[in-house]
Amino acid sequence: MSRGQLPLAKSLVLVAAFTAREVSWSRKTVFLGLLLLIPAGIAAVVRGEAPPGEAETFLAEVMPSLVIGVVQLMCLFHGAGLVRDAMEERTLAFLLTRPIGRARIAQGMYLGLLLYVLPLGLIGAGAGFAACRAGLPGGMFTDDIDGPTSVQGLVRLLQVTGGAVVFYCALYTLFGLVFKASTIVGLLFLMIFDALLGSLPGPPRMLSPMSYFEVLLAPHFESRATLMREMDVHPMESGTAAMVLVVALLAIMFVTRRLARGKDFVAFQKAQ
Amino acid sequence: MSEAIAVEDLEVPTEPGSPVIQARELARWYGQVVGLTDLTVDIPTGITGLLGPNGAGKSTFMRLLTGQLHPSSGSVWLLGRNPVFQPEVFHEVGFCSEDDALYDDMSALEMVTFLARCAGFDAKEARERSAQALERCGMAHAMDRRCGGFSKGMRQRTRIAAALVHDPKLLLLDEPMTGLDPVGRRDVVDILEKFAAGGGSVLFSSHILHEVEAVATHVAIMNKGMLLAEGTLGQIQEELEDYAFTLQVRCSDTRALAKALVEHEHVVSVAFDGDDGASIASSSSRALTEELPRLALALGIEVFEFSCPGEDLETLFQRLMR
Repeated sequence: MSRGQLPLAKSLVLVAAFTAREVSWSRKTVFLGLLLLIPAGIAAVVRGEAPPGEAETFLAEVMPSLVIGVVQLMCLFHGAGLVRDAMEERTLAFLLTRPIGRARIAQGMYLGLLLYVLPLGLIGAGAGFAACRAGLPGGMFTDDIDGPTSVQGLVRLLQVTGGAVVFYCALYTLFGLVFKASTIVGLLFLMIFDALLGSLPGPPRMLSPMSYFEVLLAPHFESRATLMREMDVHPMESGTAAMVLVVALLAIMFVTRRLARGKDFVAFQKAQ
Repeated sequence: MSEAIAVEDLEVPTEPGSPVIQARELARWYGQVVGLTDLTVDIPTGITGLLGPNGAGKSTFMRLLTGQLHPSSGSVWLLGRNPVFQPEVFHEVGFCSEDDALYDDMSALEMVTFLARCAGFDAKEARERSAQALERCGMAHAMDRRCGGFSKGMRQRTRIAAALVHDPKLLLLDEPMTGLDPVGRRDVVDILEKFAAGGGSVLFSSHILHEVEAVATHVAIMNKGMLLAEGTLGQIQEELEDYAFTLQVRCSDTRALAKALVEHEHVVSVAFDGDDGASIASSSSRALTEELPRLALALGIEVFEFSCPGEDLETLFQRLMR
């Protein structure tokens, strides 16, 4: 009896669960896990050292970017190596010789990465937020600083962090498919587009994916919004920014799927 | 490497007895380097050895067969299906690569079970099958140990178990005996022979001639990305037709036979070896093998024994290389 490919859901679940396990066992895990605590650590230091009013303003301006930046690094170091490492370690052949389509393998790996990075990213964001606000006179969820209410600020921070994980994991998984030195290319991308262009005033800033996440954060972090106005950031509504990010994500996923189907899954120098 | 491929590139009709692997004008380049060129071959059922020196293109062929590489041109089918665009064919194909790769953080049982699940079995059945496959490959004692701590032989056995776990019809093994000790090699040969005896087909590559000779019913010989010859050993010899070789013979009247033979143009020399033995060098294998029995019969000479020293796969291989 002729059998077809493994069903889509089963393929994705199997590959994703396996990938999440592999990622969590990798040597990078401890280092990147500690990285996630950096925002909370900085917040704790600033709150301990700076005068109360200035500390809140500083943290409201810096903390969300710091969280997204750290999350992005995590996505980069895990995501860029996801497919590339499996190719170079030659373990990808095990999956390629099972009745699972190549695109599904790439998609499953991406989902597995999300399974691992998303909870950690949210925990890191939550810890950073908590460290910013712990010890305030009104308690953790006071509304006397920055934003309509701090609960809304927390929810928005978690939403945007989640969105950043989804976006950057997809982007860097694609890098792993395309580039041999995918982590270095990813770092260059991060430095040029997010760190350099993202810090420029005016329209060039909009070439940075990070700037769209900042647009999403701004309404709930007033001092950030003020900062962005001062930097003459191209005015954009949250809805538009979200739309741009969703379209970019879909495009990345489409390209990933196409590439996965057409790509040689053997590291070139060894194939010879 | 376009996705837009014709339907005829995807499937070829298969009937009982059809070749298990078909390649048509298959080529693969790595930039300017030729990995494989113009390979057209039908691999039949049974055990086929893919023979060639390092760099012959055997691994490239295996990677094209398993969809890890796309052809630069030409087509390839496994059991009538395209391995890249019809991955369902891997329900019926098992593959063991030459690379020393395993999921080192997993135990052998966990790894093979995961791969069995990827072949469509539920968790319970996958585990049972994996335990059986590891037992078949002599890994029962170590199946719960992490693969990272395995010796080379144990790693190879685990990979073969992973290739066998879903009961494939066709087994592709790239250099399966590399790094194994003689006992390990014998075990692999046993596994292949049992698999073939159960109706399965095997294509395995090797650069060691006696390995292929010992187990394969068919041979495909490759060098520099080209297929030099393909068929049974006998067919390959026939393909070669005429070549210079030396025959050793023991018979009741060596001198009479030698005298009759030296009159033939193709006989280069005759050297006597004891009272009843002689080595006859000829420029034409076909002429000598046809003449010898005819002359022996005509002269009433009883031939006790004849042999062709060095007339094994190695000799064939060297001759094909020339």
